[in-house]
Amino acid sequence: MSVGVDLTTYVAGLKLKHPVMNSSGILGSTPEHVERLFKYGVSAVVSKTMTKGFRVGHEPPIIIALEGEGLLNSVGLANPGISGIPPIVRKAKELNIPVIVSVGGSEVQEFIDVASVAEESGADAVELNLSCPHTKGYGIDIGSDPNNVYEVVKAVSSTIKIPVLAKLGLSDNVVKSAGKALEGGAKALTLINTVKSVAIDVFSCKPVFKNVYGGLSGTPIHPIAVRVVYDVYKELKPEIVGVGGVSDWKTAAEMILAGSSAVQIGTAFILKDSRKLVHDIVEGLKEWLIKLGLKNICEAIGLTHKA
Amino acid sequence: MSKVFEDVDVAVGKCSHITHSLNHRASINTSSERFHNYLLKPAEVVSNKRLSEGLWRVEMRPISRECLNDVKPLQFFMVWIPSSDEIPLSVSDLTEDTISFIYKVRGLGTKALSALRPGSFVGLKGPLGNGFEVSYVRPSSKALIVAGGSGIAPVPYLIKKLAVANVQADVVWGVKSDAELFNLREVLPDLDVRVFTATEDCSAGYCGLASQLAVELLNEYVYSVLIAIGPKPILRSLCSVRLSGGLEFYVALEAVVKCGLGACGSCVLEPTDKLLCVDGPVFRCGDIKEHLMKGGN
Ligand SMILES: Cc1cc2nc3c(=O)[nH]c(=O)nc-3n(C[C@H](O)[C@H](O)[C@H](O)COP(=O)(O)OP(=O)(O)OC[C@H]3O[C@@H](n4cnc5c(N)ncnc54)[C@H](O)[C@@H]3O)c2cc1C
Ligand SMILES: Cc1cc2nc3c(=O)[nH]c(=O)nc-3n(C[C@H](O)[C@H](O)[C@H](O)COP(=O)(O)O)c2cc1C
Ligand code: FES
Repeated sequence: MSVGVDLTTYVAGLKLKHPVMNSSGILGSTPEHVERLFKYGVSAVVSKTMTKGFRVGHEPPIIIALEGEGLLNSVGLANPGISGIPPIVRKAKELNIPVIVSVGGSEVQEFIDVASVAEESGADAVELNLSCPHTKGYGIDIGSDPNNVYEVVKAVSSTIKIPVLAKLGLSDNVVKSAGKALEGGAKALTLINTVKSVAIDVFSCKPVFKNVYGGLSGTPIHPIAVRVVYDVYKELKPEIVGVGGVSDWKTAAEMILAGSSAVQIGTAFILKDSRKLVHDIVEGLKEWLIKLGLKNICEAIGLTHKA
Repeated sequence: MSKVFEDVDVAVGKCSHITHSLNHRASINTSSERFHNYLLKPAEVVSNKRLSEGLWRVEMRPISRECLNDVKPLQFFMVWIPSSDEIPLSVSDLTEDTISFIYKVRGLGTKALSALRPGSFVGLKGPLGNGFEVSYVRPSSKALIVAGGSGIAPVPYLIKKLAVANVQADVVWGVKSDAELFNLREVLPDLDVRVFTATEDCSAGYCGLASQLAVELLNEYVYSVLIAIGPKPILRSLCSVRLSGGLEFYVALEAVVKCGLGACGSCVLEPTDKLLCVDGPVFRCGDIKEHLMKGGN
């Protein structure tokens, strides 16, 4: 029995009834997508990364599975642009679920413009995507330089009032970038994005993606994501949303122990039964907390650093 | 309230961190069944031939035949043409070690596919989608299949599977003009099926739309199931036909499928939150009415 265990958690001032959200890029570009994510049972909806203008993204193939329960994607930040933000936020409000708008850009002003539209639309928070690995000029091109991270986060945080989360990817500088993001005014960090990778078909001898590079997600990156969360938490103790290969209560629990206040799920929504997944994780986490003798998920956050 | 609970600083909207000793370990895990369908499986082109004006048939042999197990009619594969495109195509036929697709040459992807010679390699992601469950059809009954244009592509495999389930099929195939037609028996020589063709320009067969011919057949014969495949207008008009009791009605839809695995959302069937690539492409008429009635193609 899991009566009496409280999974309520807090990220960047948002109260979440449990720690499981979707990660950006799993649906999240239309109101219909939001409705579907809501039915998956997430505690907050995170939108697809929105840029100022519409982006058609890369040509298919855009996603393939890899041995080892990983996915490789090269979606190329396809999104409807800022005009797509208000309908998404409206739908989330209608469903009474917190909504975080993921914001992308190729320059500081674009981040400010998109984040401002998110705020005007009534979003609860924005997540700055400083880490997409497969779209030139966006994401990791910005996020791997701590000074750029500071500049973008600072500019957005001083323009809008709603909380700003900074989403960082794997880079040698990740702890430094994390520090800079917090210094720039980020209320929480989302760690990590997909990991830049290449897949080659050995019969046609061609890279699978026209764009060559893709972002690896799912089980293969889980230990890497846990490492990044662990290192950043150890160094800076910020609020962290752990992302990367969370696919069951155990991988979620690992993220929490490493220092995550909440987790996001992308790949597992695709590879597993998406309508059961969140429920199973939530129930699993409750059982786990009971086994640990804890009454509240907050008690488990970063526990490994103290154990 | 317990001590640990009080230590959590809920009032300021933050979790404070509390030291606690670990005293237990637990483990449960589950594995994914869909995963194998989402891998890109290499396949070699065996033949690639023109069937009629615009319609082609390609036969491929996957390096590993595992992806040919348990393929349902009306399921589809994402067919990757290296350096070119990846497009959704319905299974047209299966043999022990090959899979065929019938396709209409439209744009970049299908043009590149039609240029492939035997010995070329492609990648197959699938089978994808829900497909049609032939076991739901009453044995010894009759099915009416209505196909519009390239909607004929999955029909051979559908007929084959229905036959195995002891269901006989009549096919209505509607096209714009007779140049698009080919002889279905060429594709499946031992097929026991009645094929009624309809052309919009009255160049062959019934003069008119496939949906009109289908309604005439529905009035004349008794069917237990109707399966319509093709452009939205055909499906929409058939779905709005007042049907006699006892007739099950399914439609196989098309949408823009970019990923095929429920991630990108390009195939959402507005205004519903259904995704064609995972929830479809086959739906009961009644379950997808809102989308069909929304208009557009
Ligand atoms: C689940 C599913 C199963 C399918 N099965 C088959 C099949 O078995 N055989 C087959 O021939 N096609 C099938 N299609 C449609 C097929 O995928 C498209 O024709 C193909 O993707 C077109 O690719 P392209 O690069 O050649 O054309 P594009 O360059 O993408 O498009 C060229 C032109 O064709 C138009 N077009 C594209 N797709 C369609 C479409 N579906 N209907 C009408 N016009 C279109 C575009 O608007 C454009 O004007 C299926 C689609 C889905 C979603
Ligand atoms: C198909 C797909 C699209 C994605 N699109 C985005 C995006 O638009 N913005 C973003 O910040 N992250 C994007 N990501 C990365 C995820 O949000 C997440 O960080 C990553 O996939 C790791 O989590 P997972 O292992 O649970 O998938 C995408 C991932 C996938 C698989
Ligand atoms: S095609 Fe991407 S979700 Fe269906």
